[in-house]
Amino acid sequence: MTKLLELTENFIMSRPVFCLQLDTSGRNIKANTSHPKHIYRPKPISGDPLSELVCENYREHFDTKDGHFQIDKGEIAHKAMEQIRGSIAEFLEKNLEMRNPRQSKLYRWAYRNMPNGSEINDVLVMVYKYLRSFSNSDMKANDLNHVNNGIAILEAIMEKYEQ
Amino acid sequence: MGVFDDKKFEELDWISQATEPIDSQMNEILGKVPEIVPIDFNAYKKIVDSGYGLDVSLNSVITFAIAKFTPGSPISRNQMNALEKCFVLEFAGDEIILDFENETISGGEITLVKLNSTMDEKVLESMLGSEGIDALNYARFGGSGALVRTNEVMELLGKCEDGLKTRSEQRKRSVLHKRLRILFKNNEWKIKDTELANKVGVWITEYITDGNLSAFSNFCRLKVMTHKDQPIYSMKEVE
Repeated sequence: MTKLLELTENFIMSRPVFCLQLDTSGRNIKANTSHPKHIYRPKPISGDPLSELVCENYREHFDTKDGHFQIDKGEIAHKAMEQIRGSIAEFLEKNLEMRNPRQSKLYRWAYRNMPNGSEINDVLVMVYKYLRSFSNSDMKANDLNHVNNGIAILEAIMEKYEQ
Repeated sequence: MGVFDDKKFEELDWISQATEPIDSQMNEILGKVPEIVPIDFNAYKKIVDSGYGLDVSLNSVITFAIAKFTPGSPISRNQMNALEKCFVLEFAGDEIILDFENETISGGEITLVKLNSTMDEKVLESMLGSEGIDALNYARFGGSGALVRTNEVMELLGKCEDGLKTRSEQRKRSVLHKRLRILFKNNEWKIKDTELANKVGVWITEYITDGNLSAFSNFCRLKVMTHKDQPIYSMKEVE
């Protein structure tokens, strides 16, 4: 996840300035904290799927006591990592040339038994980056040679971690 | 001063004695809160600090105003429901901005505006005794001697024949509850003070559940005072 954490490094937060609204009954004042007046949303680096993923998972929350927005960079990286793991299983489901890819050993490993740890996560981040180089955001690949290569890499990883 | 004298009634001016308005702590509270309470940044921050998020309800602003202008006045849910009808929140300005960076509210003003300086008599009438009756709902009547004590209370309240006949705790509670509702709805005892009326149910609950004799003594005193057929504003309570 090191790469993902690096991508969160330059994230800042929205300014804590809100437009207040009174409802028609005159009984409630709303301050929509999810839409501050000067909203900040990180812009992904063009063509970088990892940056897109990390930016997609950007979440800030307003701390009423401290009066400013806060982000948990670790949490953002963690959410992005979860998405990567899910996307790998999705890649297999969409691109394995089988009648029912979910029955395959590789898919079941990717879906259920893929170990969790900093070492494998760093590897999976790079695998995801490679898979996205020939797949769209729904993980549907457009180059069969690359698909076979990607599957072979995943099989090798599975064998290594199963031993 | 005699045990059954009503000091508060005696101290009322002649017009109040003639019209017999219902007295309530809520009128005192209403009187102390100014007609307009401006809500600046610090006030807004204080209000949201006691809740979740930045949204503010009329209820929380009233709670803030009461704490500021009449500290130490606990407000029950029923009272708050009634008070909410006496206030409204107002915005002056096109776009009111809450700025935590500069700790300001800009672009206009937020105010809490008081609509009435006294509570409506009908509202106070409907609130008579309600909190005491609510106390009965949460009480446990299962202790030793509780059913006997319930019968004693029902005899003093009168018109509880169904409750006296049954041995069911649930049924007795239901009869007692219903009787108190009717008693206060028609204000049969002519109690003219909401706090005093609320104590009736509490005294009954304390006596039935714990056998609290002070509570029973107060209840009996009040009952005796009703024989004069005069409005009751206060009574000398046993501690």
